Amino acid sequence: MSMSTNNGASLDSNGMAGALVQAVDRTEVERNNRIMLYKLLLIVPVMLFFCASMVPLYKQICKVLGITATRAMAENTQVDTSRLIAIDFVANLNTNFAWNFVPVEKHVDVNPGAKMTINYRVTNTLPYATTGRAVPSFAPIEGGLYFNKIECFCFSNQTLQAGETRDMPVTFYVAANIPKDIGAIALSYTFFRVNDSEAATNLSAGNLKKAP
Amino acid sequence: MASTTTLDDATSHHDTHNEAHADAHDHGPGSWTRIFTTTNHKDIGSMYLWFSLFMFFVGGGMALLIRAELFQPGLQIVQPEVFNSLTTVHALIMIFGAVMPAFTGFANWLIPMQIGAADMAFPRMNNWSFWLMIPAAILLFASFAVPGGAAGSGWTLYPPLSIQGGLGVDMTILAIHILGASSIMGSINIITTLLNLRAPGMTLMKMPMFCWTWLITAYLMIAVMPVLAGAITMLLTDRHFGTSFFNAAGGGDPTMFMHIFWFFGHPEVYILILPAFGIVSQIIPTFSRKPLFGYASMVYATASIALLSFIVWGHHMFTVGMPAQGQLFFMYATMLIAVPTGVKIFNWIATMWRGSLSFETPMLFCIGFLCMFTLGGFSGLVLAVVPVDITLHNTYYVVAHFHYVLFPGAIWGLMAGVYFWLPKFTGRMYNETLGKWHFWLSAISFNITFFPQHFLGLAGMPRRIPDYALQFAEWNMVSSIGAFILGFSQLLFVWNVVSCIRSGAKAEAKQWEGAESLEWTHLPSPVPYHTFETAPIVK
Repeated sequence: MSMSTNNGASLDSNGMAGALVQAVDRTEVERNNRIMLYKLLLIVPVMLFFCASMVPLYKQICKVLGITATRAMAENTQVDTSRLIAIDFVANLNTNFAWNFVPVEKHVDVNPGAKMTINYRVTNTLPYATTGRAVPSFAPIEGGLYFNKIECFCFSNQTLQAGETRDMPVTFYVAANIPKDIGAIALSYTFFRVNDSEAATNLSAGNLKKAP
Repeated sequence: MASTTTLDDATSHHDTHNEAHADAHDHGPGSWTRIFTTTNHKDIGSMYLWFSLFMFFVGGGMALLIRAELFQPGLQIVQPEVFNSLTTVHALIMIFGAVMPAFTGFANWLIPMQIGAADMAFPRMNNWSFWLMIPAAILLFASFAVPGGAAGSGWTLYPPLSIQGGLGVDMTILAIHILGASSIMGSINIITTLLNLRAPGMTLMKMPMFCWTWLITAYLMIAVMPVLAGAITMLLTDRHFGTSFFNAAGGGDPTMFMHIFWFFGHPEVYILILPAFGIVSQIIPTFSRKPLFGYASMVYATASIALLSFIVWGHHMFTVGMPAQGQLFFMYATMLIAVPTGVKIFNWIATMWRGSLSFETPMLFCIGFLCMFTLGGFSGLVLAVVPVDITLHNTYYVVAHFHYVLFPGAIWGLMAGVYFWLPKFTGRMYNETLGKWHFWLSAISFNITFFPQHFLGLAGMPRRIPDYALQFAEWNMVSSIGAFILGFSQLLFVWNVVSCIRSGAKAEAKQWEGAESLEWTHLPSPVPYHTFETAPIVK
């Protein structure tokens, strides 16, 4: 490396002309510094704006790239695709109960382990609000052991206004370990009319058991 | 680079304008009002460094209280609320009060001298950005005394906890606002100095690495500090003005805070490390007696790290239920950062390769930095892997990881810098034996403290808890013992610095024979109060 023998202390030798030149340079430098200051200060509002626009930015980017907000559902590995179980849906009404009650889908074939949702449609044909309660049954009976309902309208009181129609879903799956000899299951619901007094006390299955 | 610099005798004239300015405002080195009125970059640099040393011990004291509480299972010393405040304020003080001001202190001292400028570009703003930190620090300390205590939400200030906290949270938010303003002003000052005030011939690609890393860090700061300010302002309006940016009860989304916070937070971790990279890049060549290997690649690697730091924030929040595509993007982007970081690590090793090495204290700290920072980087790579992170998220493994990159990374970089430049700043030498004791005690006790925390994290111990299950007892005890040795061995550093200033042996102008930057080659030790009033010509 090459350097002169000068150090900082010996830089102080004076020169009038030099000082003048320096003074001119200094205003020039100060002007440049100020311009730089404004440029850099501009970054602050820009980044504040960016901060505020993050939500719409996310929405747009996810929309353009097709990134969905929810995590991709994991594949259900419990499905037995080697066979199909035939499911029949039956709707019954208890005597003298003037509702209209039908399954929307009367028959489906499902793989054991696969989730499925079907609907029953019920209409109150009476001119006043009525309460009913449905009870399921299976044929064959052991088929019911492997028929797992995730969502169902049964056992709870359903109150329909005069003339109201309602679709009630049943979400279920047939257990993957269902024996090979069961190839079909029929699910039947029977609607019972709930007495007005009974509806008022909202009698549950638990209370029924306690009754003598 | 600096090795090719020379003074141009023809420009060695007196600067009358600057002299008048100095007389009017500096009040001379003897006046007591000097600490309030000084605009001298060396004064302000020293003030930053002393401030950060003080805050380092305050934050360290809090860390020791935390470790004392965790020495055994059960609650012994502090209540859980106080424990949460301690972890929160420990982090805030160490980040905003210790590491960032210390780097700014070095920037103030060194940048004008290394580029041949007389002072920083905006000396008064420089004074202001220092003095803003004092009320911020007072606010942080005082928040312990208000009803509800200091913020206990962790330094990340996640809602809903930070929306529910008491007055302490407001004081913390205000303190961060002030510190942010201070950082932005400091950054503007540094960038303007580096871009406008370089001596003739000092091209950008001749600047010492410390200047380069600070140029990039300063841009990072200007870019992300307003984002943090925006996030905590929204927090403040959620708390007091009925908005619901983050309040789920009003239709807001706490996850949005995490996104905005970490958009600031990840660049912030590089703000905490890049200047240390710069210091290390100056010290390793000095004690290897070789120029820095791959100077240009170092510059580009630093810039790449800075740019990549803007697109990896999601890795702090893999568990919020983000889409799989998002997790994959953030995972790969995070791993990509290992490439420029690896370039830097290998360049440092290549600088030492076949160098004429000597192991003075600054070099020991730099080699310690290399080993430990690399270890912390590797545990960072482990955490970058989404499925691994989901099990390790919020465990002590994370605590171990970021202490490995911050203590031997940022803090050792700073310690190395202090030992390296102390002879230049004070004109006196520190005690080499004591410095080596400081290094080895720190190195051993640091590993005793933080290595077991990897095991604790892998075993499932969550962070930020004052009490823990019995199976974690042994390693917590080991960690606490290490922490106390680590904490008290830092007193050796203070002793060494103070006795160096008071009674150290006289240092030479070029104390380290391998040092090549302008402050070593062109200026005496101690450096005069005013330097480079006439710019040197760099060839």
